[in-house]
Amino acid sequence: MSADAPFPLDPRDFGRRAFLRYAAGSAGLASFVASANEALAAPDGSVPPDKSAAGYTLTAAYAASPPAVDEVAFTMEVENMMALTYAGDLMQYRSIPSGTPGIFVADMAAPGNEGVIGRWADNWEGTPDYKTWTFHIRPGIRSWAGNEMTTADMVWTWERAFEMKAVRYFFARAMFLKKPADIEVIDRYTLRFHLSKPSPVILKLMAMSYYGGPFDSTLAKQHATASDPWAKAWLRNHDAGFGPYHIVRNIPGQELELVRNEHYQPLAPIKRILIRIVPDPATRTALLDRGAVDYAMRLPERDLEALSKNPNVQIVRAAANFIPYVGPVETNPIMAKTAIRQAMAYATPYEDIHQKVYYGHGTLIKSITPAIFPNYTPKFWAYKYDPPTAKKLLAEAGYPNGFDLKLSFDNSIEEMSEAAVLIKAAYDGVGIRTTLDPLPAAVYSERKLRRELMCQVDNFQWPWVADTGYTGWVYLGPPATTVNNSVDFNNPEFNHLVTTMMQIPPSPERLKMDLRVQQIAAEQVPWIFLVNPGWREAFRKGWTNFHWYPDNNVHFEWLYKS
Amino acid sequence: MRRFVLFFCKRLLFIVPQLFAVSVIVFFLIRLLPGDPSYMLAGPYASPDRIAEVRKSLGLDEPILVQYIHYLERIAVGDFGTSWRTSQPVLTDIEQRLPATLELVVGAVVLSVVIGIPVGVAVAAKRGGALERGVFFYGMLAGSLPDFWVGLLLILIFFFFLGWAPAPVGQLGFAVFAPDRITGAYVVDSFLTGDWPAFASALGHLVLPLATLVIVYMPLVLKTARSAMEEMLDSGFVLQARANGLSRRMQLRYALRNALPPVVTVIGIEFWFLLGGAVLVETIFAWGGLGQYAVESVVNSDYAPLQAIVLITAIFTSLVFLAVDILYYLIDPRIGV
Repeated sequence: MSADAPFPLDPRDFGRRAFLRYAAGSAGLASFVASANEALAAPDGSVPPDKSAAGYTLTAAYAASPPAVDEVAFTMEVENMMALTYAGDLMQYRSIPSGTPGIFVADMAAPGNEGVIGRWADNWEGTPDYKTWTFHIRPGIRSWAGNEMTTADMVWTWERAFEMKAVRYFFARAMFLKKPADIEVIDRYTLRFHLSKPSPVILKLMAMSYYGGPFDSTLAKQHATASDPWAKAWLRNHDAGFGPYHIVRNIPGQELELVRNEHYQPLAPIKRILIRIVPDPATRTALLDRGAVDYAMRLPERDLEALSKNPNVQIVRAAANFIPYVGPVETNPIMAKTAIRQAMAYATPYEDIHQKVYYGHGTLIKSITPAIFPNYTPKFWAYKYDPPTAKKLLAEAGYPNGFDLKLSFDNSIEEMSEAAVLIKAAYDGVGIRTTLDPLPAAVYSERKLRRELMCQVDNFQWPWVADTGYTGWVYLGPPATTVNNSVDFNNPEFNHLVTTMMQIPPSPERLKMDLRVQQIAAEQVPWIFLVNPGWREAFRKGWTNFHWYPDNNVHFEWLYKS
Repeated sequence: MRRFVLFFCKRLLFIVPQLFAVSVIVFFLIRLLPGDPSYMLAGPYASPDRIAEVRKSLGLDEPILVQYIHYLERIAVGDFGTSWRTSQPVLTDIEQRLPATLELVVGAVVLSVVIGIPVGVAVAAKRGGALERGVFFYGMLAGSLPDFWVGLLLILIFFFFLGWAPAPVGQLGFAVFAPDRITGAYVVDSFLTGDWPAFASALGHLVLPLATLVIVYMPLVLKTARSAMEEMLDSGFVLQARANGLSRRMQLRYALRNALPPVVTVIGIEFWFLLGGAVLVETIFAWGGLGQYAVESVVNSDYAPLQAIVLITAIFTSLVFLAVDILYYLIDPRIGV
């Protein structure tokens, strides 16, 4: 595999096919048309040199502080900070125009690895059996501390990951990297991964793993001690990244300040990011509406709808990879019956949720595979709101008079609360006597992952890797080894398919498996898919060049004012 | 005086077993709350081994009595543990947040006293006028309005529509750096260090949240002052004073001194309540105070901060009511202690 052009992006890299595929998908997903961003951006999504020199300051209102800047915690704010300070691993998804001016998206729809290019790597190569991968790091990449990225940093990062056993370790397992010693250092800039099994998704995994490095190991080791050789204490609250930004002030619960890494290329137009923690979404909305901040994070659709009426505010939208769902948990004997889950699928008020919770934005989800992923097909999803069919199925399943259902959700997520209310009303109508069970975030997370709930409404799933096998494996794989499989779905054929897909190269056989996985997910209904709202962020007008990435964070390094 | 000193020492000594009892109750009660932070902390990609490791790092894998003993050992040396949400020692978090809350609370109490007592006395002294009617309606209204609603209304009017108030983004505006720390309260520190830009910003940001608390909670002081004063003015000794030809000013002075004890009690209660009760106002104004920290700890099952906050609040409560008792003694040494 040959290198693609390094930074800045070469417009010729935007293949016509890739653009047409995405634009066709976007046209089909008409409700994702971004609103009101008519500010001009460079046609290829790159950063014009004069904008790099601009040195803007951006002010933002966040909902909460990140608990840490290391893979010891997992919240949206942690993801956001990690993406800004570490940026990601050796690869990245290519950016292509979304069809809306000023907005670019990761080329998730490209088949195989066509949509993936080098981030830190300027050259990479895989053996035909997909088991040995060699990456050459582009010389001259420097952290905010000025240290150059070398293979030593990569090795230290992966060794730390195996010790931490957190998110990066998860990626190691996903790519069949068994131990750090399987990473061979060829020279200062070249390393080779020896995998225990073929990994058809390693490049896509490398495009996403910004959790836990890669670290500037020279800097990190300065803060290591005999009792803390991996500098865990220091890295909890400080970053040692090569990414576009560096945290200079962090007062948890109050404020954060980031400044740009002057060594990062292309130089980010925004020189300084000032963040205040404003827990109340109504206050964040007011701040943006009034122009007190440039960006307000995590606003519910209702507030976005109100803000869209302000001519000085833009709601940036792009198709994304969210999968909100209703999840009957199969540790419960009633939920374990396929006919019951199918009945619930026919009883779910999809359009109501689409209109009343999301104001018509987004699209109904019709597959375990997000619509922007390769090989997506809606053909297996037969369900629509059909109460008579729901009742019929309930009767056939032995519940002609319905049953009692407890529907749990994280009460801090407004849209889940609203969806749950609509779902309850619909389910009550067919005899599924539903009790709502709003739970605090920590309680919900614990009970969900322990599979102690009866049924949940959830939105905290967005597969980063554009692959059906990966998506199925991560969220619905064998429950004994997949903590994320919170609904305890355990279908032998499904398990076999997703496990196999993770270790066979692209081929017609793999494509058949891809479609079969989508079919099983539709027929067995481990998740009742709801509405993908798409990526939506609220900014003051004037900012442009938004880049959507499958982590669904705002990547500030691309933004500038037109 | 000797009696007072004895009383003071007894009260101080009593605080120790009081706090011990609070620590026992809060420690065990918190562990009865649902929610294990290990899952949230470890994240959805964590293996069962990783979750177990996180539980171990939080000390949650040990028997509860062992956890309590370790907890006592740690707080004996001033180690209140680490918050998983901030990755900082709890004591550091509290040091950052407590001054912010005290700034609001002390300010609200002082203003309630400075405005509430004179107005209450004025209404009691001259009944039946427009002031009395105004105070009556204000008291009724304020008593029924939730503080967060008043706060949102003030933001809407003074920030959103009129643009008079600064953005509710916390204690300081964007790009205004915190003053050098002396007390941790930005208004005080910026004044003491002569950091006038920070002083102006801190004072400006304090206005709306302070106004919110004063509007909602001052009626407590005002109504108590008024009713206590009315009672005193109707009492026999004031009647005697009037009959003896004492000036109105002297009558009010004698009445006020005797009306103060219940007012002092109410002030103490208001202070105690606001210490934890200002959480909604802190949240709306992104104040970053202790109340907000406490609520977030509950929601996220962050045990260490919860335990520390309850203990510290108990300490403050004890000190506040000790101060109330001292003031009682000073106002009227006849009151038995």
